[in-house]
Amino acid sequence: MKLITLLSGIIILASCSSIDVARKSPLSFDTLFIAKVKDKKSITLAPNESKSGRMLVGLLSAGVVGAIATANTEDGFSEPKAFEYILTLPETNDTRTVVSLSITDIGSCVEVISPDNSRIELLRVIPENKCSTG
Amino acid sequence: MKMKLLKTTSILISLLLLFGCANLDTVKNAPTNAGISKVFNDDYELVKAAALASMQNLNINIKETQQTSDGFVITFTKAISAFSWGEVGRVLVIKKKANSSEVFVHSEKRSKYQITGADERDFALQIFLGIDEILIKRP
Repeated sequence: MKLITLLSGIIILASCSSIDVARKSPLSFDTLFIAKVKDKKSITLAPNESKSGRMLVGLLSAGVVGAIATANTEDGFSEPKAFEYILTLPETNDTRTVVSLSITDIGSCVEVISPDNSRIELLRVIPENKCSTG
Repeated sequence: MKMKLLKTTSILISLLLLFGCANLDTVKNAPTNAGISKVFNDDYELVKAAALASMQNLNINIKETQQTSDGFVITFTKAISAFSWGEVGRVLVIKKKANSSEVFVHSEKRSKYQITGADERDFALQIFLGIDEILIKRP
């Protein structure tokens, strides 16, 4: 019974994440469109590492002490912060909403770039004349 | 009696080891030149975007970005795993001259006494490789 518990623990722990720093997919940096920043607000993204998940791993690897320690590591563990931008396309004046970790000012002309297949895009500030329609 | 003392001691040592942890504030408040750095001879805005792209693609969790007087700050964590209590890190992109930016990668293991897990060189290597790859593709 002890052996089964130990093996189960090892399998769960080993499946949690790799210790190596590695790419999840090939790197891309594709331009989606160019637009002007109309508005922005700070948002909280979905958790990517939960406190309960950490506590479970702590419990399995170091017992109650591990669970208590992981529970007390830090606040806001599962709350990554990002920005929601409202952008205006220069040609049509249509608006698009983009979630990004980039930081730009309202009124900036930006290139919207997709680094992966997630909904989080990149905003790169570019010269103002790229947003002029004339 | 001897067994009880041994058990208490081991629990106390475990608690000391686990509570002596690094967290996001540890890396956020580190000196600006902490960590491993590399200079990129490219536009600051492009290097900032390339650094974010490189990081979004890695098996780490970006927690927050900030534009401070020092530069563009990206804080991240790496999840707890079988052989590590996890890591916390900070990437700082500094504008140097018109077409030159310096990127600093600084990280710490959550448990300071842990031997296994990813260290600063592992994060820096992958982040810098990603930035290089993007900058080569981009004019």
